[in-house]
Amino acid sequence: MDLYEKTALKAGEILIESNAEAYRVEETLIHILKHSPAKNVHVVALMTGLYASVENQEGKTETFVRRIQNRSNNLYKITKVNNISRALNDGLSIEEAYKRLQELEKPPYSDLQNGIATCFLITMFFLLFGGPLKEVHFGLGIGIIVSLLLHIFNKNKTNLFIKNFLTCFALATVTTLLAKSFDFHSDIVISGAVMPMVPGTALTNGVRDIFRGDYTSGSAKLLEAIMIALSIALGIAIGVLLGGVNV
Amino acid sequence: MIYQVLVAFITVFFIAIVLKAPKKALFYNALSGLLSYFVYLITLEHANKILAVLFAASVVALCAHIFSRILKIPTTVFLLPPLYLYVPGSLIYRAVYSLIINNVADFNHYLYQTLLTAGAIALAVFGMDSIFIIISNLKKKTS
Repeated sequence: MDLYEKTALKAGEILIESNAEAYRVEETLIHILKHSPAKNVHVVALMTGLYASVENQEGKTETFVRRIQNRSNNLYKITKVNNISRALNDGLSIEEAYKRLQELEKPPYSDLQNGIATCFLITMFFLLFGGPLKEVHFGLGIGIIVSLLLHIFNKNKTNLFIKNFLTCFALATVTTLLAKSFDFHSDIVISGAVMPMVPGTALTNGVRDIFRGDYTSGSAKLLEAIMIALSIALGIAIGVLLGGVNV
Repeated sequence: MIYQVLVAFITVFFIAIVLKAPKKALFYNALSGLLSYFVYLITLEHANKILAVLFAASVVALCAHIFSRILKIPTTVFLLPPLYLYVPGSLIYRAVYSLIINNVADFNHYLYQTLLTAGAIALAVFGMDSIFIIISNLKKKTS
């Protein structure tokens, strides 16, 4: 396994872990391997794994498989990998490219910035969904709870289903209990508060993949979207019932 | 209306941060959120929600292609954050929620809305993708 193949596989792994579309992963791998002496490059990118087969200089076929366990949205990494693979055209050496791919771990935003963004995102969605300006502190309060919980679960690398379920359960319970003593639009607060968790990326990328003809990864992404929706809905339903609102 | 469009602008700015978009893409994402939400609200006055989402998502896709060519950043980065305004993520959750509380009529309604909205977004994005692929092919032929 030479450095070209290592670089290409690393790039593919990072892209799938960042929730990139299937065709982008395949094109990036083929693009990087174009610079190597290998011929007959075939790549299949699925959501849970990456398969690549190349014919090396001696005419032997080599196959590589990578299993991808954890995925999370990261547009920054997609941009960086894309830049590195393009820079190979402009004479970037493959050693340098491999080094840069390994140094990609540092996120562009700190945990604090991310938490504040999540919190304000929920508040803004509360306003966007028609919540009145004078009840904005309820949206902000629930936003703080949700971003704290998400931060704790992300730190402990909790399973996606459990993470969404527990967060939604907590936010629904708190909101319905608050709605008993204060008068505010609790349904709008809940709709806004689930926005950081809703499967927007999975749904968009899934449908895009299907339109491109990548049926396997596309349907897998749609299934992921349904599972995320199920986890959110379960959490909200149990939380609302426990909070004691007749639904 | 100006208030709503501004709220959409700020919302997309924060969505872009949560999705970890690169720093120089944040403002452009928010801008495309603002423009598309303007189109969305205008269309909503004359037509139904699905058509409004179709037009808004077309604006998002158009902006994404233009910005990605200017800033040399992949199209996805400019596509995902603004689309969060229209993506039926909250609809699909409401559908499953209605199913859990045994409200079949609402479940049907929300599932139907989810499929239609997802279809409208996919049509807009895919249509704009195809237009830009055709344009780049034409450029190659003429040069």
